[in-house]
Amino acid sequence: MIVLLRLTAGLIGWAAAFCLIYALHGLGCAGGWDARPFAGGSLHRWVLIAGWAVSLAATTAIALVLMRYRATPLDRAAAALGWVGVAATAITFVPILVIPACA
Amino acid sequence: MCATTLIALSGCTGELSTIDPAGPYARSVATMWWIMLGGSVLLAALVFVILALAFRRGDAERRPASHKFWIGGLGLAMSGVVLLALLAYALTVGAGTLPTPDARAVEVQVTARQYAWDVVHPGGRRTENELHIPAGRPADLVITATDVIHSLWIPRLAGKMDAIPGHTNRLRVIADAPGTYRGECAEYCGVGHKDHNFVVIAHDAAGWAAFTRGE
Amino acid sequence: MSALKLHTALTAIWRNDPGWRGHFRSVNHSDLGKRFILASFVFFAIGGVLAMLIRAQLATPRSAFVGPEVYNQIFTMHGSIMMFLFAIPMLEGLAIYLLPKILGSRDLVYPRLTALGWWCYLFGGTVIILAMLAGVAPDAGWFLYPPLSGRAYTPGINSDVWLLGITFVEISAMCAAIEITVTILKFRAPGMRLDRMPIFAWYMLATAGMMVFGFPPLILGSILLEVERAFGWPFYAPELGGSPLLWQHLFWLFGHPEVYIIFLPAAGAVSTILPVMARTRLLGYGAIVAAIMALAFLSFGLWVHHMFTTGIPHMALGFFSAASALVAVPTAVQVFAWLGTLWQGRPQMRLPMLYLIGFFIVFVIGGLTGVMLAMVPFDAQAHDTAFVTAHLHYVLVGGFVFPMLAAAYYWLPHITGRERVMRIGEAAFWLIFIGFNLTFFMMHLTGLLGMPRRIDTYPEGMGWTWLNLLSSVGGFLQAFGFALVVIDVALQVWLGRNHRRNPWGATTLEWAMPIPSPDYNFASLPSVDSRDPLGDDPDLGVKLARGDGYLADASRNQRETIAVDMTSGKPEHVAILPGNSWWPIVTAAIIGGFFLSMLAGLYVIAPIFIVGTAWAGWRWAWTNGTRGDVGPLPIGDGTTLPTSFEVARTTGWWGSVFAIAASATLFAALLFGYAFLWTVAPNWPPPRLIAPSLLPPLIAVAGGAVAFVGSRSGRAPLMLGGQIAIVAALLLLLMGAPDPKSHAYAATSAALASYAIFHAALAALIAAFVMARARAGYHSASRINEGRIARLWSDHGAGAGAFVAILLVLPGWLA
Repeated sequence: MIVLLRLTAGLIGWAAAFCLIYALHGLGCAGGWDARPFAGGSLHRWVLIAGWAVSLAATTAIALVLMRYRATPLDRAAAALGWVGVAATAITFVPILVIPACA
Repeated sequence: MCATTLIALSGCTGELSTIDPAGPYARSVATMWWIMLGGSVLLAALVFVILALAFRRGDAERRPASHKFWIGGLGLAMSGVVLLALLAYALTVGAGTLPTPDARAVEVQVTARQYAWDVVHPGGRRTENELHIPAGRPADLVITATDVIHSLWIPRLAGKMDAIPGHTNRLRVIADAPGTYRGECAEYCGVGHKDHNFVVIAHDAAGWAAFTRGE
Repeated sequence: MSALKLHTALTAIWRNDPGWRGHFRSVNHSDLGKRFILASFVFFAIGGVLAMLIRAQLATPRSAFVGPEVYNQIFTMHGSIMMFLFAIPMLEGLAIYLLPKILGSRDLVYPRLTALGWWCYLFGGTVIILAMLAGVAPDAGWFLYPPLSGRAYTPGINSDVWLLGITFVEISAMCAAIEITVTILKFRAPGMRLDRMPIFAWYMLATAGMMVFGFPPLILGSILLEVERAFGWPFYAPELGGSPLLWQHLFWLFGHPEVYIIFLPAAGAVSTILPVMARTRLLGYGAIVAAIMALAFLSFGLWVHHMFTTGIPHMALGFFSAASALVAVPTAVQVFAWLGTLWQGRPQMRLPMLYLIGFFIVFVIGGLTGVMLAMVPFDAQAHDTAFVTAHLHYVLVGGFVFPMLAAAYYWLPHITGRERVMRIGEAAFWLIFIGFNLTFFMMHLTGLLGMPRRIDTYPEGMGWTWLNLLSSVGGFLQAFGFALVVIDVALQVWLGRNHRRNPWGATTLEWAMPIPSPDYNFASLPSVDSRDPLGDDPDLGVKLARGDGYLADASRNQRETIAVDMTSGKPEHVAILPGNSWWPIVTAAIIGGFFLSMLAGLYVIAPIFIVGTAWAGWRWAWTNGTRGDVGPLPIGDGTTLPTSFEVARTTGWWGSVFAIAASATLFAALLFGYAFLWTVAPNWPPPRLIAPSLLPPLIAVAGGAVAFVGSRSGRAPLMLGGQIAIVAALLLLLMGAPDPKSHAYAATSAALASYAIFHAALAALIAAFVMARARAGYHSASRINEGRIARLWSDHGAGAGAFVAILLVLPGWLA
């Protein structure tokens, strides 16, 4: 059972990040956060960047923990999937930086 | 070879053809299509050649295949690089079609229903199944529907945008030159879906001024 | 005991009753798997005929073959039948037939549930087809978008046929999903660690997991649309605060994982068959396991790519575009692992391999157009055109039908025990392959030239005419090809010569038995210490039939197999399985009665069938267990194991865990709907909120606490009382709430309350059940598993009840 949880931990991290950031994006557009200026950008963009940073930190932490178990092939697959979670989190949310928030 | 035969059969041109663009947005997408087609042909050829060679290599014992090459190299690295490059390109093209604030843009209200398009132009002039825009300037179509979901599509000018009852969507189209273009409904909306079409008339500056004045 | 004596004794225990009675009471997984596969082929043929009608209509412009009303039913039914009545049941049938054998077990974990799933599929599918023959088939497209599918624009029962019929069939899918998950985790040959499982088991584990989490949003969306149509509760109607977009989110949240649910088992067949055809081992087992997991999860983050033109903000579209591109990576990893396997092997062009070549060519093309469609600006042009129709057929036919035909030819000797008669299969392949490409390759271009989907005819002069005609000609070629496959299979089944074992030289366990397989699969169960058990010991089949393995014992006159530890594969307990039973077909008929009364609009008698289902469930569950302690049983190597009667976490407990996970997913989707409508739907805020009362939430929390104490201390009366309090509290809340018909807020709140009431009532029923069971002597200090199951349901009911009661009064307090 535990090995199955380790196999899926990295991807669950990405999925949680997706829920968090998609929800923040939706709430922000509905709440008009993209029209509120903040530190050179909009409140919305900084909130999203914060969410993204938290997600990257969390998925990286998961990947590092998984790296401690590498005895069997499944352990190694789990560790690899931990880094897949980090990479997916990094790539999926790049639009935060390059696309206007609510257009 | 297949592609050229097909094109020879019917050509790229057509009143509703996405590969016969008449505006900058449709053109950027058409360019992207040709690039993606070229890349796809190369990748498909790679796979088919490997497949063919795997069968023709005779019956002698083979060396075990390298994990690093097939899975790490081709499976992960090659596909990852290609996909990321394509994604970056596509995000850039898409960002260029957004209706960001533009002083030269005009706003046209379009309401879809079963089975006609009701248009209100700047200045208040109303038409049915006819969309008038100024050529060479952005026209922001403010789109909604009164009954079921429809979709407004002028293939030679831009991508489509759904007309959803209770929601309002915004689509920017630009026609390079004055002329007549065809539009159609692109979301199944009932028995009259196939006839739910409209025309787009792009006017030159003088014609647009005259149209909005009511002439 | 000699092999023959063992075979006779085991057959007496595992066989069906004689005659028709045996057919209706059978819980044999090989029989049921074959029925699923056969029925899905029949539905494929019906869907194929509908496709021929589509192509006949579209062969020429300005066609008058059928009018739009009929055409709309034809294309809706074609898609719905292919997706729900062919693809999913086909992969279920393959899994049901194959999994116990390939895992080294005697059966699936819930034999009667397998039968229930079969009857629900058969009854539901029949209702849908009968509706089509009666001219009232669904006609709003296979994804049934409201408002077109709502009561205002589809006043007839067409949409109800889809909503009720498909949901009925999905009961079968949910049962199969939970059963397959638990079977792969628990019913394996001793010694089969997770990383020694055949790769097909990993694919099915991921698929079943995806079904557990992927189907509930569809079930929820369908329930909400049916309630909107039948009772006027607005969820999707914008005038009253609903949104058509909510349906699209819920549908595609299911719909995208659905296509990977269809693809993964087929990829599993490819990963199984390809190395055998290439006479080598699969390259990259570990990488493929990782790729399967990645694909399973990433596919849940793609759904909005079906909604790129709905006006959702571009940044969000960008997330889904990026994820849609990312999902191509694990797919590519598998494709190159397969190519590497072929490269290191010595492939032979036998018939399954020919179909796998077809898979490679067609699926790779489909995958490439999929990546194109993942790019938002291109999709803005191609969405809802023939280009998408081309893409989806390339990936579904390439990625599912071709591998399934390869699988059919690969495992047909196993199912029938016979050889092929003539070389018809090769001719069929070429007809199908050429016909398919002719039909669908053209559609890429017709789509780019502006031809939309779902139009019943088109004008001349658009450049579409010749392309459509060629597509239609291709359709006829395909039809001939599939007909030849049917003939080929029929000839093999009836006229083929009896076959030797293991014609392909495969190393997986399903070939370590006589073919066609005996009712009990293995006369004794193998011990496994590698991924290729038959490769290590080619005589394994003979040895097992002789009784050399575990449980070579028919003396207790009951159906037994071994349950193992999930990870290590160490034997854990002896599972005692039920035999033939009337309960599956009876229960399916009662459930069918509920759906039919809803379809007929007889809403007053529908609740009678709900009560009937509860009654049938109670009586069915009552047949489990024993009235006295049994003690451990010898398994044949000198050791003993407890039975499933006397273990805390039975396969039934795990089944409840996954069932609750599925239900929780439905609840999460409903919460998403609540939040979505509040933020995005028009005509909010609602005219009236639920009053900020204190009493109902207090009663609910108190009831939840009492139930929780009861669950921790194992006292069923506390669980029962707590759940009843929760039901009362929520009913009190509902009585003071605004009419659900008045606004989407009221409707969604009532829906949330209904969910919690349902679960509290169910938990109460289960608590009452265990109280009755304890009094009747079915429980003891060692027979505790039923109480453990009751606790799971009570905890869920308590949590959901308290949460919903607080959530519903919150807006009133915050306003």
